[in-house]
Amino acid sequence: MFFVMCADKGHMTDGSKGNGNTGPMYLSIKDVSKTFTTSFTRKKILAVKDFSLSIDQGEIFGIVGPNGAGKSTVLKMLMGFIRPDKGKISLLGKEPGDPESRKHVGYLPENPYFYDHLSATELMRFSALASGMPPNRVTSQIDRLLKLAGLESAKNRRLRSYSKGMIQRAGLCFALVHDPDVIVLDEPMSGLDPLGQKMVVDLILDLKKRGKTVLFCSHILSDVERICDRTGIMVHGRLRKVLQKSELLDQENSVRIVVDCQTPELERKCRESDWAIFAESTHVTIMCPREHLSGALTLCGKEKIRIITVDNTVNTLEQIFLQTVKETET
Amino acid sequence: MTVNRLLPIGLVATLLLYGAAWQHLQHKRHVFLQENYMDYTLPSRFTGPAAMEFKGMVSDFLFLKVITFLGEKIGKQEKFNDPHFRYLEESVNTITDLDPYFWDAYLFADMIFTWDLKEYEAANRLLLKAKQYRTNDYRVPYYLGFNYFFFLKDNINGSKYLMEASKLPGSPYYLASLAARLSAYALEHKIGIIFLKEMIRDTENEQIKSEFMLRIKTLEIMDLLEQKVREYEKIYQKPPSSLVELVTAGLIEKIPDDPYGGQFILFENGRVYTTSKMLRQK
Amino acid sequence: MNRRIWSLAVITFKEGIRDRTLYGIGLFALMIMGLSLVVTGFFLRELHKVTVDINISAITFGGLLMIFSLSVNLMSKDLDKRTVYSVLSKPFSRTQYLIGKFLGLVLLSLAAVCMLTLISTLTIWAVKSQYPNYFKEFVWLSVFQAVFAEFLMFMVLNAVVIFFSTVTTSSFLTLLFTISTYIVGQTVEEVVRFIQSQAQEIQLTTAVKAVIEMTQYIVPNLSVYDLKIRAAHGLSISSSYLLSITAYSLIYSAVLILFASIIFSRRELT
Repeated sequence: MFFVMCADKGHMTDGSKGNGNTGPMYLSIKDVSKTFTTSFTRKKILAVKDFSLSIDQGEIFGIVGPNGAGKSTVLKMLMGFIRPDKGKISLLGKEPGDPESRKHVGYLPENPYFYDHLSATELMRFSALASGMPPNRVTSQIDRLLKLAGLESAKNRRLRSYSKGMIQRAGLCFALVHDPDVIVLDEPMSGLDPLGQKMVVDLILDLKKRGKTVLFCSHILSDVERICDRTGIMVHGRLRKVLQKSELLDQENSVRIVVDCQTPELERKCRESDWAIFAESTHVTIMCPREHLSGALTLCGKEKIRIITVDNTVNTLEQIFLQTVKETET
Repeated sequence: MTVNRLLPIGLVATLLLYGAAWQHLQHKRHVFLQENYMDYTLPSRFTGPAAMEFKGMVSDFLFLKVITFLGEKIGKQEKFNDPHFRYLEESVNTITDLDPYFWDAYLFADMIFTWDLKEYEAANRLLLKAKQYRTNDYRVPYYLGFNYFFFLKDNINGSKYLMEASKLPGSPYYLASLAARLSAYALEHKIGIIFLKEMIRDTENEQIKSEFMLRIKTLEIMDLLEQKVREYEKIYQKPPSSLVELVTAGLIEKIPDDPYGGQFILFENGRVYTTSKMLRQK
Repeated sequence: MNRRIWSLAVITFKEGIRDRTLYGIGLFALMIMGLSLVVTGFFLRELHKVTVDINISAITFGGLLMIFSLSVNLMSKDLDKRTVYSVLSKPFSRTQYLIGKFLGLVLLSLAAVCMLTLISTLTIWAVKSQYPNYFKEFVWLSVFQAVFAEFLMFMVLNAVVIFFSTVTTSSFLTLLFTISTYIVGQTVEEVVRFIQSQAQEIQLTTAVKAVIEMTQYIVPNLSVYDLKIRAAHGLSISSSYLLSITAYSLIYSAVLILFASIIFSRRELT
């Protein structure tokens, strides 16, 4: 089922305007496109098209989108694993082709795999040293992070013996041990139980408090809604919408009325007052501003329309997301 | 009966079957292997590249194969014949192409070529090949010299190679003088006796030892006879016309038997030889 | 930067050394060496030759097995299972990544060679004590020189593994190509010399001859590392020769890794 929202406000399809900070472009992706060609059948697959985004220091940006939207591809281009066909990417003032661009970046891949026979300690030691951390600080930093992540008891066991949640947490430690300024996370909550998901959320919020910049993509819309300064919706390789946190909050000013049927009079009133209405098989949903609530209810009473539920709008991001996807398909 | 109990019973049954099958196969195999079939050897042109960097190991195992096969034949006292010779020559050539320093192979082949197959030229060919590589090994010219001396009755070449051997490190002390005497007194039996006595010291093979002893015995008899001929000349101012005269003169009791089955004869120059030429008469 | 490359070499080494296949290989090599204790009894005089032949061959076998299984695995697993992301998300250039992996693989070969040589030394020493009379031509130094040469060959083969793993996508193809390179590298010198000496007798088209001549420049000449026969007979190996093959190995490995870097830099890691 797809919701139709007409009450979205001033969204931008181009994420190039940030929070208003006038600081230098921390992370900038400009007009990037990428097409993959399957080697066997020579079929072209458009992964990313005309993607532009810039993120300021200290910002938390979340990308959401259906499977195959190209979110991971964007992150991989940022990290230099894949080269864009066109466009420019700049990470901390350097191009992804320059290894130095990753010196202060921490990355967590989707479904992370690590060397099975290493222990968490050894893995993190590698991460720290490879990013240029002075050796004398490494051990204390490793211990601190492992404790925070709850992996202290398992720290010298081989990663092979870890559960999925433990691997995810080890991966986060791997990405953070060298105290990076930018953290890029590809589906950080995948495979985690609710406790684990909470830990990730707390972690990201903590990072923000310490002035770090975080870019991640996720499927868990509620968490994204909660923690991101800005959210981007990606469908079929394009960045369709970028929403400020404030925009999402704005939606709380509207209410939802679920009724059992609709009449032509109701439809006319909705069109006139700019309320959202759509019909499903068993009921009809109306969304209108809070101040119009009594008027709407009165109308329903007059039209002998039975009211099923009245509540606050929930799952704003979900609605916008689904709407965006639907818009794309038409 | 549960399935579980069937398993160990089935296992025991199949094990017994296996034992029986193995016995049966062994017997058939024994018969199969008894057939007189000669292994073939791939020439080194193929074995070399095929062995890649493991030529040493391959040469070892080829050699093992050869000595096992021929050792079997020797143990059964089978006579060696032409196919054996060809097999041995090809195999040893391949083995020494793979590892040209393989002394054991050269020596083994030399022993069999000379003692068993009487292929003296082939033996010397092989030793000459060894000489190209084992330049500091006195044993190579030593055995060459011995072959010329003992089998080919060529004391000139014998002396030449022994001289070479005497110059190489580790050679026995007596070689130089032996070589010298061989060339100077090319035909004296005494030299051979000394040579052979030294050879015995170096030999472990009982069969070869007994061959040497036999040869020594014969040479000693011939040497003694020559001595007696010289004594006769001293007494009677002229050489005897045959060995019988030594008997009649009382210098010897009777003409000794030739251990090789031939007859001792006296030559005009005072030398004593045997019709058997010191080779076993069949 | 060196610390970075070294840290990658260290985790590559650790990942490899804890792999179970290493135990299997060690066991196999041990069996071969044990064989030498038994087999020696069958031979006549030159026991040192056989003992050294078998022991150094065992070391070579062990090292080769390790390269064909472990080294190939460590490289292709990286790209297959995406563990390479965890490395390349760090400030590694593609070249530094390959150098780090190469160092790790070489360290693994070195560790294997050291362990196998130690066991060999004990084996040879045991046989020597049993039959001292038959070890007259034996020289320890030659044995170690031959082992060193084998190690140089392993270094080159590791570079070959790295090269092919950047070119192909499957571990099987990497394995196939590496084994082929080994076989061709071992035989090419012999074949070339055979052709040159028998030029009249065999009818080879000029095209085939040209291909074979070309091959000897492209493929590493691995027969230069085979000093086993000299070691078996206690013959010395000149230090200038050893120096030459060391230089050859280092340069050839560097060439391969450079090629691999260029190819790998173009590669997309989806």
